[in-house]
Amino acid sequence: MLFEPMNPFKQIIFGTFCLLTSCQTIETVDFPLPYEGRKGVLTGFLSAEHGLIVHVGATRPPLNGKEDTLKNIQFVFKEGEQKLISPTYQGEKLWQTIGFRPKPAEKYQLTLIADGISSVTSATVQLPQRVELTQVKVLSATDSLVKTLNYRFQDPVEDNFYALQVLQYYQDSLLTESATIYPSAYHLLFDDKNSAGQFVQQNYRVDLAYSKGYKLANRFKIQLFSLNKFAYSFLKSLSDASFVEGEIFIEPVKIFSNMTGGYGCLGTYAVSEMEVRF
Amino acid sequence: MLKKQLLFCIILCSNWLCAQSGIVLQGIVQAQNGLEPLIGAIIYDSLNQKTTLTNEYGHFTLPTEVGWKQLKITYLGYEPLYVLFQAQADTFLKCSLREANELKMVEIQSNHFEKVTGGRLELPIAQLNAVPSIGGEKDLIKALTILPGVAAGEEGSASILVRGGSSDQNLFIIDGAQVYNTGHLFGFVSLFNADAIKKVDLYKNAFPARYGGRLSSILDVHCKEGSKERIQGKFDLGLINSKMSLEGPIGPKSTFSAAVRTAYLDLFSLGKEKKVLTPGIRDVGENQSFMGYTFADANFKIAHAWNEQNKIFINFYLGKDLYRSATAHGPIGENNNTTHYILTNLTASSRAYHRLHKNVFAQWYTAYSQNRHQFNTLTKEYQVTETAPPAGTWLPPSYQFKLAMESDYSSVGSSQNMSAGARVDLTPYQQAVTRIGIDAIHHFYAPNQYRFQVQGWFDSTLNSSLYSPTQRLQATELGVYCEQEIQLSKSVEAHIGLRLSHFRALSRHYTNLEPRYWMSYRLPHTSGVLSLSVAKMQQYQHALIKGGELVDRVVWMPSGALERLVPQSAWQYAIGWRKSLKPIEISVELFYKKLHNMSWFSPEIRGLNPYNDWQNRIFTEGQGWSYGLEWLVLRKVGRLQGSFAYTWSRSDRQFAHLNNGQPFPFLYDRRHNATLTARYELSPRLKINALWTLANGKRYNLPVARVGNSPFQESYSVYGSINSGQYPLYHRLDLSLNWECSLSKHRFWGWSANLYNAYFRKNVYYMYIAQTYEYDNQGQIAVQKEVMRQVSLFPILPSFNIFYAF
Repeated sequence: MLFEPMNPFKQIIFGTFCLLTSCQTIETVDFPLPYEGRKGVLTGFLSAEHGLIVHVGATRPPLNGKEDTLKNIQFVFKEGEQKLISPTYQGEKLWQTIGFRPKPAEKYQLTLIADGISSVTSATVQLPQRVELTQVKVLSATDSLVKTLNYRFQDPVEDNFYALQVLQYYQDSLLTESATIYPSAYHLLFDDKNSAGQFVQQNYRVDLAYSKGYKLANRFKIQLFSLNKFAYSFLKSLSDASFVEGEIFIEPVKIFSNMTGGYGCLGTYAVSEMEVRF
Repeated sequence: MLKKQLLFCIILCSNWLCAQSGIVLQGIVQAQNGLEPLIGAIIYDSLNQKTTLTNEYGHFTLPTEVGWKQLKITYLGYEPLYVLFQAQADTFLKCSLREANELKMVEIQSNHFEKVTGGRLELPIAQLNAVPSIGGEKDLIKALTILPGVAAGEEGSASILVRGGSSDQNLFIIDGAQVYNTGHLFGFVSLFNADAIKKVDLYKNAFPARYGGRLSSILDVHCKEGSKERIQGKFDLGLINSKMSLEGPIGPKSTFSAAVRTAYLDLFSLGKEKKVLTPGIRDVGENQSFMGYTFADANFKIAHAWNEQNKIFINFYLGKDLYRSATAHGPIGENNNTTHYILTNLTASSRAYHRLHKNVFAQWYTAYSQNRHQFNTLTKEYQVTETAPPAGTWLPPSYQFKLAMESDYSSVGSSQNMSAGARVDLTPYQQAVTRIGIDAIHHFYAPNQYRFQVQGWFDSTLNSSLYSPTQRLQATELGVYCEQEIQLSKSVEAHIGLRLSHFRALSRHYTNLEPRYWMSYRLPHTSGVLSLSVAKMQQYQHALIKGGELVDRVVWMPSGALERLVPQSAWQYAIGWRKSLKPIEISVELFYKKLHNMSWFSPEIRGLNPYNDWQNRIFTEGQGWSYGLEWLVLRKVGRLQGSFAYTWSRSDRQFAHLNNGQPFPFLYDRRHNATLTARYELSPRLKINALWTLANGKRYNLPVARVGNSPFQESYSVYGSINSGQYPLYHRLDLSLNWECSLSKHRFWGWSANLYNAYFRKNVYYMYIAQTYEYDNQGQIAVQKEVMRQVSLFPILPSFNIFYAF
């Protein structure tokens, strides 16, 4: 029974409470949100392992704006003083260079040209120094559902930024749905503020209870991405923004961008990986 | 800085050098009804044209010469008292003022400018009681917002914003003890019980040197000491809460005052919690829920006077909020959730004074304050399943699991401090008062102790738990100060003060000098009074907003908790003019405030646990500035009384790592803020009050574009400059009708009917983006749209109170 018989005093109190709580109203309002105009979005990573991976798009109005694709896309890629101009493409998709291997000390810059937007040009970037994993161990017991991975590496003296990805295998395939060959905001992101130039030893805990229904192989792959500062700032801001996305009325986490004329980021990375069995 | 200190020393020394022999008039000014000491009463010797004020204990000291004296003693709301006598030696006067008939208040008000009171703004309790409020509960915080330069935070928020400062830059003191939290019921009801309050002083500039620790304002609340004549009391029955107060003498030398208040929003659900969660009462399969919220508080004060020269006060406040909710479904004990939230505020203080010499008045105090939050939520989910392990996995072949999960989250945070201080008031010669004092505060911070424990049962028990021990911090704050109030000539008065403050936390030390200057000049031909003030304030504590629980709460952190978290400071400059044009008073003030070393906490520190990495999310070394012009027109006499306050102001912030280093508006930057109050006496028994408020809306962050999904990221918004958007204009009219009837000389009763937001204005409480869907004939989603939704609280809210007093 929803309502039970109440004495008159309780009825008065209950009525008062209803009056107070019913005084909240929610209504849809036509609240104008200005749109700064269509701008290009160029996001990509450059690495010696995977070459250049890039995605292009364009902004739309904050609410209900139509998302349309770019037309007549062209890239201008600068390697040192040498300028490479790509053929014209159509539509948005993930572009990856095949066979291109950037050089360690060289400077790179990428520009996007497309119909209907101003050109978008990245800051000049260089590859970071690769930091090698020296050891990975599984500390937990064989039948434990929680595995603690212990990994070690030597952090160089300079400022360094990292992303760590742990991959599980489903038979011979990688299980992790978010597994990517490039660093991502879903990876463990950290810097060397507290360990600059030191030997770093950290633990990473994997709870297998969540994936117990899969045919898991008894091995992990650990990838340590060394990031340049642009890549780290971009991924960290994406990660931070995921806490507040949708709450537009608190101070925002601005997504880092090193582009002029648009948004997005060109970052660089180098990856070191090890496999461990348990 | 050295020059300023030298000037201060010269003025201080000149005070002593000028000291001359004479007599001293001392005394106490008290209300005739109840004999409560009156704070800030004006004592004016019209023959010799000398003025002084009573201190916070109702005492005054007036050095003068032998001869005839004609004293005029005035206090807001009381009839003036004239005393004519020939003073031959040091004299102690006991002056009792009678409460005024309101229609005769013209003459009382005319004396208001005989003594200019520095930066102090006094909020008369009568005015506090006249301001309509939510649920009829008289609210000190909301009453303060009728003053120029003081703005409300949000609707239903127990915070104030003074001259472009944030809410954590206000220091609330209740009888010497610092108050951390000022609201009950999620902030809808003020912590201060109006029936326990005797006097409220607000400083928003020209801060006396005896105050420190906050940048924007000081609110000093004095509680009632209790009637010396007879036992008095009041019962007040309201819709959401009721209260009772009692005061009176305890023997010939002591008095007491007590007030209690409780809300009964959860009375209707009494016993429901037990029914929801107790096995055997709830039917299997029945879904039930329960929610209850209540608060209660108590004020108690006792005063004991050995004689007129020695008195001690002990004050105590305890307030508690309790929220409980529970939901349950399925068989008993299988699936349920319970949540508890407890907020506790406690202050205790003792103060004493002793007149050491005819012109030396000493006082000392000790105080303890505590603010504690406790949040707990317990969830139990049981899904009993028995399954063989998937083939080919590394799991043992015998593996079978029964899934059951129990999660228990609890979080406790507290701020506490213990303080002590002493002060000596010297009145060595005519028209000058020197105050020298010292105070020390020891802060204890336990920002957040949280425990999150998940227990899952499989074939073999798995315990997964996480425990975060409290990060306890302590800090010590010391202050030494000297104030000099001096009448330089008939038309020029100056208050000069210097505060030396020291703060220590985690082996980091900070020392600062805080000079305070205020000067007034009485313009010739009754053209009014000009005042000028310069003040530096230091704030050693930083407020973090912690969310993720039932309500956001403030967590305090000391400067030095991080190396770059240094003390905040503010310089404020103000120039004002005020004039009495009977029967109205006009004042105008121009101010400029510069804030240094501001801290800014990005929102995602909300969990405030090790995983939130909060230390790296604090933006420090920011600066801010605010400036504005304030107008106030007052009419405090006649059948129609009221005020109009208008503030034009601007407040900005700037951080190197925010908004590309560009300045941006403060969240509560409001260009226009106006309040109009009116009180009309329909008959001696019946009065009608109105309050109309208008202000620019709160600011928010405006998304200017959207970036779509890509393999690298999910869709995200691109924002313009920080706080570049603004809610629509906020305005509201509140009305109240008060009726009072005398049953006998000391007994009377009355009622009060309130109408909050009388013309049904739907002001924005908050806005959010929501998804809407339109369906086709097959029930499939045809159109998906994002829309803005506005949430408004209290479109119109009537309330009724009835009281009986004796």
